[in-house]
Amino acid sequence: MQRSDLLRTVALVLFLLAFGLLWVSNRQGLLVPNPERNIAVPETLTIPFQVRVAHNGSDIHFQYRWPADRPHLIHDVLRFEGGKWITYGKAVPGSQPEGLHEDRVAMMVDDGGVPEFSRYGGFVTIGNRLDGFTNGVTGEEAEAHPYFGNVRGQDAATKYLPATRTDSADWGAVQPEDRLAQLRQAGYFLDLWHWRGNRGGPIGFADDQLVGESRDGDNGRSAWSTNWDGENNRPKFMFDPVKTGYVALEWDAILNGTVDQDSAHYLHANAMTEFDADHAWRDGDTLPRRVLREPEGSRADIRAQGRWENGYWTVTMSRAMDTGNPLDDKIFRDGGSYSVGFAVHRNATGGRWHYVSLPVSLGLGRDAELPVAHFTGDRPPWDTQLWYEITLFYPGQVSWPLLTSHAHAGSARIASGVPAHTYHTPEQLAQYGVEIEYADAIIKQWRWTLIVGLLLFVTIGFTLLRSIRNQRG
Amino acid sequence: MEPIHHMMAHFPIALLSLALLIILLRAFSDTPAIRRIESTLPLLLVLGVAGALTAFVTGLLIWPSEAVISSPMGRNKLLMAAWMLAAWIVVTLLRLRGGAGLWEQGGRWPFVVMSLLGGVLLATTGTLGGYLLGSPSRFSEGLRALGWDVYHTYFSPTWALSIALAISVSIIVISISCRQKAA
Repeated sequence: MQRSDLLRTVALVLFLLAFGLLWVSNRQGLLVPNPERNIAVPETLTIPFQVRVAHNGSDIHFQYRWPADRPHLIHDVLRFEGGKWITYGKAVPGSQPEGLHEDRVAMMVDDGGVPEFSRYGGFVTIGNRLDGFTNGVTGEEAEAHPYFGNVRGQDAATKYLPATRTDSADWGAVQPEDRLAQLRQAGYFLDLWHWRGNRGGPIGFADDQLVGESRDGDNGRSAWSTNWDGENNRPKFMFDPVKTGYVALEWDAILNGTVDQDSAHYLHANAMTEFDADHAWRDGDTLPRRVLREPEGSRADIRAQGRWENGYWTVTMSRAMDTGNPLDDKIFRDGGSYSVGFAVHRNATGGRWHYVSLPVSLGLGRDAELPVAHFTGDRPPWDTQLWYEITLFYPGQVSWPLLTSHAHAGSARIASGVPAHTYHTPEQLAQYGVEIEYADAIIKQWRWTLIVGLLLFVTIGFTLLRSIRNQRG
Repeated sequence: MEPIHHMMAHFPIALLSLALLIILLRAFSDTPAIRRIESTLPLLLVLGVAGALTAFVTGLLIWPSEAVISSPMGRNKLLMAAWMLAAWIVVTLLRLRGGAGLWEQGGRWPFVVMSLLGGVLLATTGTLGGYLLGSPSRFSEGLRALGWDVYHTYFSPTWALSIALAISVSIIVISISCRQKAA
């Protein structure tokens, strides 16, 4: 073999080795959890989700089904340790390590009052710097806000609709109260049906909420209160041993996920009594931090049933089609068209660590992706109705201000009303959601990869060209 | 600029794909007919690279650079298009410098390998363009099977980049030292 042939062969083999290395090492490193920046990406980015809907002219019923390895029935607890009651189950990025935080399914509903919702779903509610984002509004900032903190008593930045702000990219730039009231009157809000596996679910209620200038409960009273006596630094209630046979839950059963969903694992008037400070409390005795109660008013509109079995949750939410609360709820009418979007929390997650759907059209006697079956009687004949199947995805930290800015190549298409599903699939959006959480690091590494790859081409080109010239010479 | 980019993108796809086909034919055949066909390569390659360069520039002007850099697909398109262009520039220069005699010398197989790499990068770049238009291609399934999902930004870790950089320097050193010894 001539020297020039050997040179070419060696150079080419080295070049291909280098390129192969860039290929096989693709995406290694970088994508690791970073709790300090609120980054914790779930292992599974998409999950299947099933839904079916039926109405009888007066009530409408939604049934949902999704996979979950184990049920998470308890939201947060108070554990007796060394003479003190310690709170467990506070929100963390990703899955809560003790397996606390209830499972949930939520559904946003619109009747056309929020036109963008039918095209972009829940993305339209994700403003800038929401709670759980890397650069989220701090609790102190929220509490100091003249409206949300001082008037509404909020301590976190929650979902909001763009027109409720003078600048939709600024969480704090809320419209004047009379304008907010005007928007609500005009139907500019999303109804939010929210089944919680602990807070209300066990006593047959879902939380009736809405999204307008923030995510709020409907008027009335929620299905839970906090089991804490701040004055004496101890719980207010414990399990009634006469009714349940125990005063507290076992910590190990909570950790192992073996709490029986049919047992009295929640505090409610039927199973609790006032806290007995003189009881011989032992380390590890655990009480729920929430006390369930009958919800009231518009907030009590949604009845619910949920059961985990064989690796799946099946939850049914039912409500009067017309609740009589048009400023809190979207009213369903036979012949009407609506848009809905779904979300699921599983694996002991809270906040933004959920799976969401793109919007789905819903029709009562109208053409729609999700048709509502009509039935007679009180209970839908679910067994005769097929599921509508969709894919939910982890949305990451994608906000509406980002999507409508120059940083999103599709912003012009959003401005012209092109629906998200035209260009995006749930699988793609899940990947993009992850990418955006690591954007700075990824872009830096991508730049270097581009440069090194180009350098390799320059190198091999230089070498091959020189060898050919040598040969000619 | 979007319609112009779409129009221009057809030129490199057509011209460079045809060039690759001719290169593969010539690599395994030495008939007079194939030799005559091969004589069109310089023109095809020059026009193909010119078209690719134009498509590259017009592609950069479709969206604000902020949008391209912010999108995983935009980043991938930019990286693959740049590498594809680099690969075909190398192929073109090799053919222009080596002439038809390239096939008789030891440059034949490096030339074919670089052309094949250029072809893969051309197909990948075109596939990403399809995704950006909302028209996915099954070619991406092959890429996924080989370890890269087109929805993921293509990047390599620092350790791999360092090794690649060291290899790049080694190739240059070997090339220069061989030349000096030959002199």
